[in-house]
This record gives sequence, C-alpha cells and structure tokens, in this order.
Amino acid sequence: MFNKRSIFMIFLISLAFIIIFFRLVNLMLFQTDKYKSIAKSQYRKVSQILVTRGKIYDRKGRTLALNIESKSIYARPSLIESPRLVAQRLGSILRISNKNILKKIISQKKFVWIARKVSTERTEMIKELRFKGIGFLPDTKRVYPKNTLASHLLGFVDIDNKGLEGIEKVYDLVLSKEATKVIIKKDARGNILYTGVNLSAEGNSIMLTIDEGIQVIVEEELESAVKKWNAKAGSVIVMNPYNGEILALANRPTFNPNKPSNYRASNRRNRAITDLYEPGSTFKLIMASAALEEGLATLETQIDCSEGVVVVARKRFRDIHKLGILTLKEIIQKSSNVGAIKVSLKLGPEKFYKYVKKFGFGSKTGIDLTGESSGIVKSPDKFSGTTLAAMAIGYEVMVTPLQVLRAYAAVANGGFLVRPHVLKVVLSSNGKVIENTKLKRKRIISAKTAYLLKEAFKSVVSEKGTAKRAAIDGNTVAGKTGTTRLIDPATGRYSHKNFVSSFVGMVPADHPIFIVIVVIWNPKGRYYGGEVAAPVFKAIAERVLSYKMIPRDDIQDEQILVVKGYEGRVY
Amino acid sequence: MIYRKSIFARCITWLFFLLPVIMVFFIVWLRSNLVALEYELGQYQKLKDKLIEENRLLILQKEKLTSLKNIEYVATKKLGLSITKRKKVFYVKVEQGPKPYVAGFSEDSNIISKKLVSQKKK
Repeated sequence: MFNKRSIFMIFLISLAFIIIFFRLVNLMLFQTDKYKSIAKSQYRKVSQILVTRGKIYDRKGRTLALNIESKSIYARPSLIESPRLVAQRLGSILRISNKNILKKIISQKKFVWIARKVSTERTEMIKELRFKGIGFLPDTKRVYPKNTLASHLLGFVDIDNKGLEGIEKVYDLVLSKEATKVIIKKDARGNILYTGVNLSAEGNSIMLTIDEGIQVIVEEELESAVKKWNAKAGSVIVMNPYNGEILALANRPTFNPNKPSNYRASNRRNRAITDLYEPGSTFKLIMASAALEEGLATLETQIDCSEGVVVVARKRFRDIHKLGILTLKEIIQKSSNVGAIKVSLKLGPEKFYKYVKKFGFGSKTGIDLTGESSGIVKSPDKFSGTTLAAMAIGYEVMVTPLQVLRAYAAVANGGFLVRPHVLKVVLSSNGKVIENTKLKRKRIISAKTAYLLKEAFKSVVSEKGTAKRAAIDGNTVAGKTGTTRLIDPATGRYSHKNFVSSFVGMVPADHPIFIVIVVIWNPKGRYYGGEVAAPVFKAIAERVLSYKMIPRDDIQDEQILVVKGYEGRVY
Repeated sequence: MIYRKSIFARCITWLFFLLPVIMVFFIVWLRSNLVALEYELGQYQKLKDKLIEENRLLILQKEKLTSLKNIEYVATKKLGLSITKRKKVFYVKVEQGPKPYVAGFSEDSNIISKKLVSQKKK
C-alpha cells in the first residue's frame, strides 16, 4: 500500500510533529513562569504616578498657589552622537548657555539633568529635534499667579516641590502626597495601553484665612508708605480680633515666590513675626491694664506729670512737653512717659511682669508660620534699677509686631487672648472639608477693663490725642502710637536718627471688625508713630471698610433699604 | 444494513467540530477587539491629560487676569472708575418677612406652611 519513500516521509513528518508537541509541552507546562515573566517585562512597565501639590486658596476660594505641567529634560551622555550640535540647539531653545549644556553632555556620567521644569511648548520643540540620548520626564511646577502678593505668608518650594518657607513649609505634609508606583501596559513602540489606573494624584488643598482683597490694599498702602518715608522696612498685619484669623500680612521689602533665588534672604524674611523691636508707647497697654485690673487706678485717677521728667535710678525719663496733671486716660491719650512710669512704679515689678506674660509677650503666639520669634522679656529677678521704668514705656523689652497685635486684640474682643492663625480649612483633592481650625482663646483681663482700655484708646485718635491722623470719617477708631529709637550699631547707644514708628488700631472702635498694626522701620524725615504709621492705618482701614461694606457709624436711615426676606430669600 | 443518520444527528456532528473552531475565532476576535479598545482608551487618556494640562494653563491665565490688583487697575486706570464715597453708599438690610403663603383647605393655611417649614428644617 505505501512504498518505502512514503513511509519515510510519514515518519519524518510525524517525528517533526512529535518534536513540536514535546517542545510545546515543555514551553507551556514546564517553563511557563520563565516565559511569562519575560513577556510581562516586555509589555508591562512600573511607572511612578505624577503627584501634584495641593492648591492654596484665600478665604473666598481665590487661588494663591497652583501647579502646571512641565517636563524635566535629561541626557544620557554616552548615547549622544554630536554633542556640539545638541548643545547648540538645546541652548537656543532653553536659553541656557551652550557651554553649560556641552559640559554636561560630554561628562562621563550616565545621567545628567539638562533643565528642570521646562514648559510644554519648549519641550515639544526639543522633542521634534529627535536627538538620541535626550529624554523627558513629566514634572509639575508650582506657580503663584499673584506674584508678590502674600509672598511672606505663602513661602515657596524647592526644585522638587518641597516646601521651604511659610505655609508651603508648615503644611508640606498636608499639601504633598506620597508618590506611589503603578503597573501600566505598553506595546513594542512604547505606546501606553489603557489600564484604568489613574496616573496622577493631587495632595490636599488648603484654604487660608487671608482675604485677597484686604491683602491687595495692605500691600499697596505699605509699599507707598515705605517709598514715601524712604524706610528700611515695613510690616502690616490685619487680624480678626475675635478668633485670631489673619486677614492680611505684608512686609517690605518683598520677593516673588516664583523666583525666590533672585532675591536676598532679607527680602524673604517675614519681619512681621520674626523681627524684634522695642514697642515704645504701644507697650503702655500693659501699665494701663495692670493698673485697672489690680484696682490701683481708674481712668480718672490723676497723676502729677507737671515736671515733665521723672528720675529712676539716676536716669531721667522725659515727656516731650510738660503735660501737667493727667488722668490715666490722658496719660494714654497724650502718651506721657512720666505718667506711665509713675503708675508702673506703683504697681511694682512682679505685678507688671505678670501682665506682660498674661498678654503673651516673651513667648510665641503659636501662629502656623515658620520662623516666629518669642521676643525677649526680662524676669523681675533680672531687672536693673531702670528696667521697670523702661519697660513701662516700651524699652528693654523686645517684641514682634504680631505679639503687639495679639495683645491689642484682647482689648478689642473683650479680654481674650487669641491664637493667631492663617489656616482656615484643609480640603481633600475632591473639595471636601477634612479639617477645620479650632478656636483657641483664654481670658486675660475682665470685659470691664477691656471696655475702659478701649475708651482710653479711642481718645488717642481724637484731636487731643497723638494719633489724630488715624481718625476715619464716619467710624470711631481706637488705637495707640509707638515711637522708639533704634540702637546705633556704631556707638551701641540709642540713635537720634534711626527710629521705629508704629501704630496699632481697631475699627469700628465699639465693635471692631478688624485690628491692624503698622510698623515702619527707620523712616527718614519724620519718625513719630502718629505721623508715619497712623496715616498708613487710616488709608488701609478706610479702604478695608469700603471693601467689607461696613457702614459708617453715623449712617442715616434713608441710606438703609429694608427689604423683606424669608429663609435667606429676598422678595 | 446501512444506517442513515438523521439530519439532526448530522448537524450535531458538524456543530461538534465547528463550534470549537468558531469559539477559538470568537475568542481571538474578542481579544483583538479588547486590545484595540485599550489602544483607543489609551489615546483618549492621552487626550484627557493634554486637555487637563491646557485647562491648568487656562486656570493660571484666568487667575492672573482676575486678580483683584489687575481688576482694580483696569477699573481705575483704564475705565476711569473710582471708589464711591462711603456717604453715598446705600445698604440693603434684609428683614424677616411673613412666611410664604401656601394654599390649603384649612382656615389657617399657614399651618401647612409651618409644617412644610418644620419638615424642611428636619
């Protein structure tokens, strides 16, 4: 039936099939794992998801910091064929010197960064050149769209998006998210297949207590004041006195957080919370509150200041003019040094120190910002013969503007010491509230004392007071001026040329909506707090009252349109 | 004796051989379609990422344009507007008015409205 040749062919074909069968059995049953892993390594890729930092908003949801996509460009020097050409082309697109790029790509290293955080447009231009050995990695760039606005509060990040200053540093863990790894599928050409895995993630966002509107006003007014007085520096803080929410905080000189390295470290310093100064007459708050709380005096108690000078431990402390016999209220109104010292001497060092500490001086306020100073306050056992007298008028004590503001907030809110803060809420990446800031406050003086102090501070902003230039048409203001000499580094003595002018005020005085401190370091020409800082307060307060739509105290009935409403609806 | 298979039996026999083949082809077709779909979705994901990127740039541009400093500049410098004097400002005060009328059979139809309001509050 079959000839030999046919049998041979059938045998050969059968043998071939048997060999293929056994080979397949071997591959599919006994070497499964090995080939599976090879196949997986070819179409699977472990990729790190792109983590973007959470956003920062102001209290009304306006964005203060966000992220945009960018690319980081790297090179593998061993793969680059014509380094000079690559350096020339990349240099012209990236606007980096050709020499720098060439130096990098002819190095012996396996991997070098050419440029970080490059815009997508420029990356596309480089991609089109199709240079071998040049690669791209996805990255995100932190952007502050309002540039210098609230820069000292926001802080900035480093090249790896890690917070270095301000809110960015304090809430770094909240804003950032750990980069996890995911497995994605790709084909031979490197095209990524859809796997259903989200390849990017965003950290939590935060909403600040800052109001962009108030911040803009504060920055503009501070800028013009520092320019007008040719001052070395300036700080302004606006705070809600009832809960410690910081509504605005600005310093001059300032910096742009988009390019922090272009500025000096002194420009980046948040002077409002780090820089110490002797508060001068604004510290008379301690003397007055201690005297009222301890029942040593009332606002009408009279003190003889007619000599215009008081000698304490052989040192003379003077008033600018001889002011005669003054009541406690007038001592504050006219900022009499002699009167303040005489009252403080009656109080004694222990009681005076007790109130200094009660108002939070000598310790940090606990604000959620970096670099806060605690100030310097001598304890009574370290007092010299003149310390009490000097402290009564705001010398021999070092404070930050924020500490002074917090102390006056206690007067504004009826006697509570609040914790200043800038974080309002933490929001998840889908916008849900995760965490709320809790109100922390403690009573330090009675409501009656706070009321009396407010009345005294109201008189400061009157025709007879030292801060008549802080008066606002339509609303009563309460506040206190401060003028202190700076130490001359050359002589080590108080300078007659360099001063710190300050003013702290609240408005509307009876029910303050906000409290402001203005500190101008080293103004030229004029230097009294009432002349330099008080007008800045006035300019800020007037604009903020308009912005917040707070009516004048003397508002006429015909200026109020009454509409009927029900459950929030007007009809 | 010759036994002739019925048509049904023949069909079963054919199906017995054809079905596995059809199934194999079906599975291959399904797999290839799935891969094609993955490619398509991959392209859409790329597009989505690109659009998100564009969106972020637009948000950045919007934030720069709508910054209060910029708005104030445009309003005062370009449009010549000025901030109104506070004496000229009228304030709107919303006072609690009567509850809305709800039609009903009872003499005091507001009973129904009260119920509605209390239910709403709950």
